[in-house]
This record gives sequence, structure tokens and C-alpha cells, in this order.
Amino acid sequence: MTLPDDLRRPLNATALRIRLQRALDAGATLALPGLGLAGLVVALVKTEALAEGAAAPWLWAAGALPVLGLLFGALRPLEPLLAAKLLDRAHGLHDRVSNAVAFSREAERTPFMEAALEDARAHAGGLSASRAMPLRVPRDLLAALGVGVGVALLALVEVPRVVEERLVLSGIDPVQLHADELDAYESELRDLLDSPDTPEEVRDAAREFNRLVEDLADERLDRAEALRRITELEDRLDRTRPADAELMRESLEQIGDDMRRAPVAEELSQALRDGDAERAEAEMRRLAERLRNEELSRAEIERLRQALQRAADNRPEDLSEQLQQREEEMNRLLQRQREQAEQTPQERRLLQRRRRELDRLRREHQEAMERRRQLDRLQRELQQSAESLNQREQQQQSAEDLERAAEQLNRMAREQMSEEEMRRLQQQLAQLREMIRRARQQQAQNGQGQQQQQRGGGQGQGRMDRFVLRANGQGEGMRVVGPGQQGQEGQQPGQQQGQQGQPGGGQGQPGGGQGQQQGGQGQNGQGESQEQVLRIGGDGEPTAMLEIPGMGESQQGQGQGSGQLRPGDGAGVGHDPTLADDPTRMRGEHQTVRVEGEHGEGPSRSQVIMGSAQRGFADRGYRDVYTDYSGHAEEVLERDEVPPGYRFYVRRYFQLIRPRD
Amino acid sequence: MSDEDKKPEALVRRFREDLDRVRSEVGKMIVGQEEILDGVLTCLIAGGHALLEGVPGLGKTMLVRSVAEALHLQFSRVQFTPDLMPSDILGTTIIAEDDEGHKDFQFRPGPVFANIVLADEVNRATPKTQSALLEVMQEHSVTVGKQTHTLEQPYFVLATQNPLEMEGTYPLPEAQLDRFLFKLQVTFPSRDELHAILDRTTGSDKPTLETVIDGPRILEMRSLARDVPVARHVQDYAIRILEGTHPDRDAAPDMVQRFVRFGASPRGAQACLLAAKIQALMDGRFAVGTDDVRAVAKPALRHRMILNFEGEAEGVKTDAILDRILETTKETSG
Repeated sequence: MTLPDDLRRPLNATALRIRLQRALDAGATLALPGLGLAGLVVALVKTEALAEGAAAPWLWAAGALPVLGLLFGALRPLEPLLAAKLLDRAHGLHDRVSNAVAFSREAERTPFMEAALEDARAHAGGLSASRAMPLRVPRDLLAALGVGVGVALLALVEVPRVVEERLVLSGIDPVQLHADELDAYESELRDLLDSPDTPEEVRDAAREFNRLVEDLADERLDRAEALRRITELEDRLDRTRPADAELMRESLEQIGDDMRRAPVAEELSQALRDGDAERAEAEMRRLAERLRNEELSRAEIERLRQALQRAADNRPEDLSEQLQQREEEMNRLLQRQREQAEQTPQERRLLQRRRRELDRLRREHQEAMERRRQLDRLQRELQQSAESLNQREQQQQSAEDLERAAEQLNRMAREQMSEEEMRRLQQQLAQLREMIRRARQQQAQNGQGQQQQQRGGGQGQGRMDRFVLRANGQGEGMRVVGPGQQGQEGQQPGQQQGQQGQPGGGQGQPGGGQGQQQGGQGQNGQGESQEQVLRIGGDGEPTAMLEIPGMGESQQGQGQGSGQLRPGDGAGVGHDPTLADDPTRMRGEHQTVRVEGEHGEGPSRSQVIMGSAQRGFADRGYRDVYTDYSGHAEEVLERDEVPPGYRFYVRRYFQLIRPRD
Repeated sequence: MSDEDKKPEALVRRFREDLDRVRSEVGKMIVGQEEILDGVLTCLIAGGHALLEGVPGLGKTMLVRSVAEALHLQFSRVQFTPDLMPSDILGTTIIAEDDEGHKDFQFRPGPVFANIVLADEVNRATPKTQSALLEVMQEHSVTVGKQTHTLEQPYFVLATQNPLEMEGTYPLPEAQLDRFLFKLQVTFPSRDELHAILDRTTGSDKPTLETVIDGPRILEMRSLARDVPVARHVQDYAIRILEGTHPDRDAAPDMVQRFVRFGASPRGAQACLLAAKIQALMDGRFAVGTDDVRAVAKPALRHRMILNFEGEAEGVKTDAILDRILETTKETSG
């Protein structure tokens, strides 16, 4: 006897529900790792750690996991009598169904077994598979849904990608300057920012300058933007830079001259003549201290009094009136220009320029008046001190007056420092502007292909290489084929007739050169040895001219020639072809001085070392020497109309040899 | 008996009716204690013996006496004391003189020669006496001298022991405990039951019990119970429960492994199944279910497990261990 249908139907239905439930459970359970895998793949794709093409198999595998779970759950064999037991338990049948199933499989059944089967059949009417096996939400379904939502959100999230592309790709052609050049600026600016004595307005300007340098280093600026920011910064420095600093220096110098007559104030006098307000303040305090301690003799006091009186009386020329006149004149010009009905673009530009100039004049006027007031106060203090010295028993009062004068000098020193630093910043800005110009010209020359190569990292190295080649007398000379010489640059004003030589002297062959270089097919230049001078001197006064043998004008060569290029003995008179500025126009009168060189091999290295050991090395610190030389160079640059390109070289040179801490 | 009466359905029905009548008659004297009564009847029908454990005054003796009266069986009661000798319970040979003056040895049966023997406070007797009783329980016969005296069937020993007074007692050895089919624990009656007890026992009316079935009928019922089939999965369940009492088996729960020294013997499984069969019949079913096994597992196994020192020290009850085994043992294997 097989199992009655009355029992088989609920048993089959229950078994089906068991399989379904198991399939759902296993599907949900395996969906978790599947979704985890999918999430990982999506994350990797989002972060570009995995290519989209390579992600597809992984995503398929992730999708297959829950399907496998479903199949496994549905097809897994059921425990014997499980469905029957569930039916028994759900309906409180005390194993009637499971016993019936067990007995139905028996080959021989006892009457009690038959009775048990009948008993189970009698209870089969009320059996319900849904009651025996109620379907429930799979255990891991909620977790799987949670993970699924997470993966979906992850797929929707846009991960910001790190774009390594340069700005040039987004339409900006960045200014590319060599890192070494920018490092020098950063170093100087850092010194300025780190110094506690730096005035706040200078610090602000330096901070802004530093940002500009950083932007340039990161190649975030194109040329126009870089120049705009440089101009903006220069304007800002112009606005904040104390005007009429020269007047202040001259006034201090004059006071210093007057004070020279008092021997006790010799140091003070020297500091004032040097225009060093800080040192002058210290000396004045020392003098006041000596007065207070009554260390001075009567004669010294008398001479000091006279010197102070002279310094107080000798007022410098008041330039504020002149400035006011200029301002009024500018106002009139502006008024006249405004009244013109129609203006050409040129006139409009002129009007704008005049307005700016007028603003500057007004500002300078105000500042000049402030300077004037400062000087007045200083001289007033000196006057009072002198008057106090005039009366006996008033040394203490005089010392106090001198202290007050020192305070005044202190204020002036601070402004002086601020002014100097701003001037330095302005110089650096000018250098930076020139560097940007040069960079552009070089880019244009090198062409697009080379530019690309340089972007790839070879720019800096390439420039350094070229520099080394030029320094060695090679460089351009190696590359030039045939008569590719630089053309005549034109006449220079004055007695100079300049011609551009080749960079590094590679082409020129003034006589007497040493060293031989392998040239391409360049024609040896025919050097006409003439006397060349290096002018040294101040404005308006005869200056020395250092004649350097072999610094001749080079006639440009023609023709073919294989040959050996010999560099000249002296410096070239041309300049870098990338510079397109005019030659320097010397404004001073010069005197030629011939300096004969010493013939011979000169001292050997060991002799130099021995000599140095005996005499000692330089007794002045390099910093002082540098300050002197760079100051002198600045003076010359300011006085002469040196083209920006040349100024750049000079300033750049001094910047590079600047003493570092 | 007609064929109709021989059908399982009729046999089971009659079985239940007879038991119900016994319950009803005993119920006149005993208030509550249905589980104890069912246990006693199960042991009686199964041919086993029962050990009742409970404090004095809970009606153990009354219960047994009532059952005996309802079943029309010979009843004897032995109060076990330390000076009780085996011959006191088994009987002894004495010299008897007949009318003619001939003297002869005659066996005078002891109290064990009855259908139902109540061994009250069995743990107070010496092991020697206990052994004599337990031999009777196992063999259903008494050998005195060279003569073996078979006991009349049905034979049922119901022993009691007091769990409180342990001074001067001789706890039953494990081997002898194993011979009891069930160990039943008599619990204190509830308040309603106490009311009923007082009403019945303090009044002037004394209920009288009628005989409802006799010895032969008990034997028929015993035979019927053995005909009840047990499916393999149910038997397997009983075996797995038994295995669960053994600490060296994988099926044993942690509690067993920690507190049990020896598990139940195969007699335990036999007792389980036999009692489960009677349980199924009592419930009017024709086959044993796992519920039946579960219902009889504790009385059938609780006295067959030996706790280790840790279990004794911790005061662990074997019932708690069995509860844990029943919790962890699945009804279906696989």
C-alpha cells in the first residue's frame, strides 16, 4: 500500500514550500557576497583601479552568486520525513503523518501499522502545507537589500578624479619658468616673511608675491594673467611705498654733515650721512646716555651744541610746494582734455594715464608732507637739545631731547626699512616680468614640438644644458650651419658702434683667442680688434673706463668653412638673441682709462693659497661685500637707461650670488 | 471475542476505557497526582517497577494501595528498616508438623509474594535486603534453599524513598536503580488539591474502591502494548536521546559532557520505548510518536544517569540535564 493521496498532496505541497524557502534563503545569503563583490568592483571602477572592460566578468560573477544560491536551495535534498514532521508539528498530530509515511514504506505491515495509516488518513483532511511551512522573509534579505542600496548609491556617486592634465589642455597656455629660478624668489620671500622686523604692509605684499610665484610654479597662470598680477602687485607696492624717500635720505645726510663738526657725534654723523636711520638712532641714544652721565667735557658739549644748532637750522628744501604745483598743472591738463568734445583712442589713453599720474602725484604730495613733518619734528628736537645745552645744568634735559630725537629717528628707520624692502620687491617683480617675457620668446623659438618635449620634463634640463654649452663656448655655434649670423643690430648712440656678437662667443674670432672648438660649417668671424671699454662711474662725472683687450667688434662672417672656432679673449658685446631690447644709453660722461694687464702666467694655485694663508682671506664679510656691490649695481641701473633685458641679467646675477643663510 | 473486537481500534479503545476506569477509581482516594498515577499504571502495564521519591505524607502508600484495590490484585507492604533481613521479605522455611505428627520443612512465603508490593523507604534497609528484593524484581521468582518459587503475574514492586532523611540510609546502588522502569517524583499538592484531600480524609465518609480490572486483564494490556509499532525514526529518536546521556558521545550536549560520569544503559532506551507505547495507547493512537518518547524520557532515564563529582558538587539535577538533551536532540536525523 502506497501512501494515500490524501496524505501525499499536503506532503508534496509542504516539500515544495520547504524548497522554495530554502532557495530564497540561500539566494539572499549568497546575494550578500555577490553584492559585496559588485560594490568592490564598482568602487574599483570608480577609482579607476579597474578598467570598465575588466569589470564586466566580475559583475557577471557577482550576479551569478544569488542565482546559484537559489538553485542550490531549491535542489538540495530534503531530509526524510521533514515535510511529514512539519505537518505533524503544525497540526499537533503526534507523528501520525510521519508514522504513516514510515509505515507505508514497510513491506509487511502489522494491523497496528494499518490502523496507524488509517488514523493518519483520517486526519489528512485538515492538513495545510502553508500552516506547516509558512513562507517567511529570508533571513539575509534585509541585509542584502541594504547592501544593494549601498552599491546602487556607490554606482551613482561621482568620485572626483584626480586630473593630472595641465591647464594648457583646458585652453590655458601656462607660463613655464624653471624651478630653480622660482626657488630663488621663494627663498627671498620666505626670508622676508619669516623676519619679525618686516613691516605688515611689506609682509602683505610679500605674501601676495609668494602666491604669484607658487601659481607660476604650479603652471596655473598664462602669460597675460601673470603679467596682470605682476602689474597689480607693482601698483600696490607703488601705493604703499613711502614716497620721497630720497628727500628723506638727503635730509638725513645734510644733518649728518652738520653734525660732523662735533667730534663726540662722529659716529652719529656717519650713520646719518649713510642714510642709516637705524644706526643713527642707536648712536643718538648713546650720545644722550653720555650726556646724562655727564661724560662730556664742556668744550665737547659746546661743539655738540653748535652742531645741533646748525643741524636744526639747516632746513632742507621744501619740495612739497613743487609737488603741489605739478599737481595743479596736471589738473589743468586733465580739465582741458576733458573739455574736448571728441577724443581719439590715443587721447583717451593719454587721459587715463594722466589721471593715474595725478593720483600718484597727490599721494606723493601727501607723503612728502608727512616726511616733512617728520623732519621738522626731528630738527625741533635737535633745536631743543641745543638750547638745553646752551644753558648749564640742563644736560639732563638735553639728553631727554636727544632721546626724543632718537625716537623720531626710530620711526624714520622703520619707514626706511619698509621702503627698502618694497623697493627690493619691486625689483624682483621686474625681474619676474622679464623672465616671463624671455620664456615666451624662447617658447616661440623652440617651436611647438620642443615645447611639448619641454613639458615632458626636459625643459629645465635643456636650458641648463644649453647654458653649459654656451658657457663652454659651444652651444649655438655648434648648431649654426653656414652663414647664419646675427644681423647688424644697428648703431648705438654715442661713440659705441655695437654689433651683436654670438652668444657665448662661439662665433666670434677676435684675435688671440685660446681654445679651439669644433665648429660646424660656420665661417670664422672676422674680428676687428678694437678697443672696448667697460665704463665705471657716476652720473654726470667723469668715470673710469676699463679697456679690455680683445673685446672687439666682430664682423659677421660669411662663407663656408669647416673649422675650428676660437673664442675671443674677452667678453662679447652682443647679447642673447632672445632679447629684443635697445642697447643701453649711457647718460653720464665717461673717461677712458687704460689698465694694462700683467703678462705672464700669474701665481699658481699653491701660491694663491699660500698668499692667502699669510695675508688672510678677505676681512669683510661676503654679505657686506655683496651689499656694496649690489647697491652699486642698482645705482647704475637706476641712473642709466639700461634696457629691461640687461637689467634682468644684472639683477638676476646678483640675485643668484646673494648670500644665503 | 469477535473479529471486530480484535481490531486494533477496538483493542485500543478498550485499553483506554479500562485505564480510565482505574484512574477514576483511584481518583476517589487520591487527589491530584495524575502524572504519578499514570506513571505507576505505565510501569504496571509495562511489567516494570517504579521508584517513588517524595517526602512523607504525600500519599504514596495510599496511591499504591488504591491501585491494588482497583485492580483486584494482592497487595503487600513492607516497611524497610535497617534490621530487616532478606528472609523477612522473601519468606523462610520452617518445620511444620501435620496432624499425624510428621514434621516437615515448609516454605512460608514472605511479603514479596503478592501482585503489588510496596517497599516503603527502601533505602533504609541494608544492601543485603535491598539486593534480595531487587533480585525478585528482576527474576520474578524467589529461590530458598533448593526450591525456586515463581511469583504470580502480574508482579509489580513499588518502592519509595525519602530524599530528605539520608542519615542511616543505604542509597540504592546504580545497578539496582536501573531495574526500576520509572523513577517518579511525587510533588507537593496544590492548594485546591489540599482542600480536596482535607475534605476527603477528615470527614466521616470513607470512600470505598471497586475492582475495575483484574490481573489477567493487566496481562492482556501488557501484551497489547507490546504490539504497538514503533517507526524507525521514532526509535532512532529514542536512541539519540539515550546517546545524549553519554558524555563520550558526539551527540551529548556540553552539560552532559561536563556533569555526567555515566549515561543511561540500554535498559533506559527499552524503558523509554515500552513506556512510549503505553503512552501512545493511553492517547488512543496506534503507533508511537516522538512526543511519547519525549514524555516518558525523564522518568525513564533520570535514575539511570550517574553524575560526576562536579555535577554532584554543583547540585545539578538529572532532570535539568535531560531537559537539555531533549532540547538539543532533533526529532529527525539527517
